[in-house]
Amino acid sequence: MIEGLLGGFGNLFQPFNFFILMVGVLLGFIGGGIPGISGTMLVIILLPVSYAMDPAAAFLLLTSIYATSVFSGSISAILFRTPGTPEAVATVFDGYPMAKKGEGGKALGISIFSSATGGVFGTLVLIFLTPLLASFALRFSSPEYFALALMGLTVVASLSAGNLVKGFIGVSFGLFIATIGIDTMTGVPRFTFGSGQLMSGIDFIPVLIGLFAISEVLRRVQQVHKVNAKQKVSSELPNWNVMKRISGVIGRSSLLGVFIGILPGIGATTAAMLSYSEAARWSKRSKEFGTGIPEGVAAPESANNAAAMGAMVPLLSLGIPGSATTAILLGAFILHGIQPGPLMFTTQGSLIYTILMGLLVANLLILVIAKPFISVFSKILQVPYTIIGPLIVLFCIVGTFAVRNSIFDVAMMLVFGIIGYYLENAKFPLAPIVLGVVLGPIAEDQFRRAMQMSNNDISIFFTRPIALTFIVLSIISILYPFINKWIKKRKNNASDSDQTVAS
Amino acid sequence: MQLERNLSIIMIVFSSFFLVMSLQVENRTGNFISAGTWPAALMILMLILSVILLMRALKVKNVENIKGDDIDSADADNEEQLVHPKKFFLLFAVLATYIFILGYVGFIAATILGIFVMALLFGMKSYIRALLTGILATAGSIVLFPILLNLPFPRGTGIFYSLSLLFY
Repeated sequence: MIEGLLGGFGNLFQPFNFFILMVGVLLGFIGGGIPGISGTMLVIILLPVSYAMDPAAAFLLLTSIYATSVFSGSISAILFRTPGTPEAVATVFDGYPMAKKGEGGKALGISIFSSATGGVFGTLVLIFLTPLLASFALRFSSPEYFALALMGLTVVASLSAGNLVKGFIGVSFGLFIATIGIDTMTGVPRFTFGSGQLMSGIDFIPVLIGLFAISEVLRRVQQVHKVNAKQKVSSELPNWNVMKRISGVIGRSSLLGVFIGILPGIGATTAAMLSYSEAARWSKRSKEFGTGIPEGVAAPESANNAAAMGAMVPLLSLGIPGSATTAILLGAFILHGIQPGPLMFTTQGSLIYTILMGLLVANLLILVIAKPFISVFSKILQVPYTIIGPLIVLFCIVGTFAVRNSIFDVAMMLVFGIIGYYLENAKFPLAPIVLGVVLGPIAEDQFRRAMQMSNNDISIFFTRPIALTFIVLSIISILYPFINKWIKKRKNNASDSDQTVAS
Repeated sequence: MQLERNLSIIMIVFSSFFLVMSLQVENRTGNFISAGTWPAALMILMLILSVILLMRALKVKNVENIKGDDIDSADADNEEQLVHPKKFFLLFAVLATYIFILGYVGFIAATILGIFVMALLFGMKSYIRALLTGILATAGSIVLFPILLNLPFPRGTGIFYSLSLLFY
């Protein structure tokens, strides 16, 4: 392995290969930063271009775009409440509030640091633990996937800003939105009202952009805008105190991100959401999540980069893609006459180790290139909102349209913009809705598949150890706020009666 | 509080309606758990929670009436000043119109017009500047998306379709 890594390192620093890596990193930054362009889209577009290249250069280009675009989606998520890529959806929850508090630079710095750390961690796991992790991932089946999704959903308690009823309504609503369309298991149309467009369902991108970005624009248009010529956001890498504060979150989220990324079909978006959920659950500051705290940015950003790397594990070791983008990379391998799978490390060792070293360097380059890139990008903030506002709307429309080339999706975006506006006025948290929409398809599909596997015997969730573990954790996390409240109430009553007796 | 009360009533109606629809979803497999089971369970949960929310909202309203406090105005004071509330409806109308005409007049015409009107709505004083913003934003989007990234934009119909072919 060491020889392979050294060989890969040598290959990477050949002038042309390194140049291609840098091009890929820059393209990933630009593409991920602009809503409407995602890493997946760029990889698809450049796939035919890469065919003419040497395999090492081709895969360095494609994988570096993939790695860096996952980070740069957070830039517009933090500055404009519009995630540049789906993987940055959870970064909006705390990133934008931080920017509103004047801590945009801090949020971006945390994002850079967390993304680089998560990405490097994920790559190291990819390098050293690929065969072991791949075999663990194979133990996951429908009950485990459902239990994992359920655990992610139960964090709604932390995302609800103290109002559990509203939070659970939001999650139910989000889960319901995910059911609209043709049922994947039986082909039955659900809630389509005979509409051909509704048969494709409602994608989560229009929901997300509508709830967060459009509702914000609808609010801002009613306000007076003063041009703040001095407003500048330059990212500040976290100081020692902040690093200490977020280090635990980054460690846990990176681990969780890699783990989720390894599971085929889950992806970095879900990993980011689940990591945010878990960080909110276990943090001492769980009630502050959603108000703009560093942990709320660090968790999803480290997880999504780690997951992006983790998704390469099943691809390289088993030939099974872990996400949409790795599915395209699988196509790229086949295009170049390479069959991914267990023998790949033996037959294409030089190429694999070059790719791995390329990923490592690309994630490290986030630390170096992100700061100047953000300085340029954030000059946008000095532009008056009379220009920025319409441009944000334009990017929202294009970003939504780009998902499925559907004007209907753009209409849905507007509908959810209105819904988000009124829900926020009524102090409804929006994050649980997004949680429901993102995790809904996995939760329902895997639940029904699990029930089919067991002939409608629900004990399947309790007889499989991994699924049982997740379900027990879910139950604890739902009951914990109530038990905690009850204990505190009893303590208060006890201390009140002691004081009464004493007086 | 009034908004919360109204929203909870809307949610009760929403969840009741879709609960009935869920129970009518065809069960092709004959299994106990069918395509309608999951949405039905969600709607039952949402209905119960919406009723709880409505009862809470009414309880708070009763407390307000007894105490003579007006919590709503305190909430309003805490929010940022919305100086032009009518612009919400205007922007909504602009966006709805934009979406409606997009398929007919194509991306170029719809976006130039849409950005022009939105810039004025957001407070731009100069008509020329607003028009320039619309033209430049549209041009930039066309270069970036349909030309560089091969993402097809709506072309519209008739003369607008022909116009789009000149650019992408």
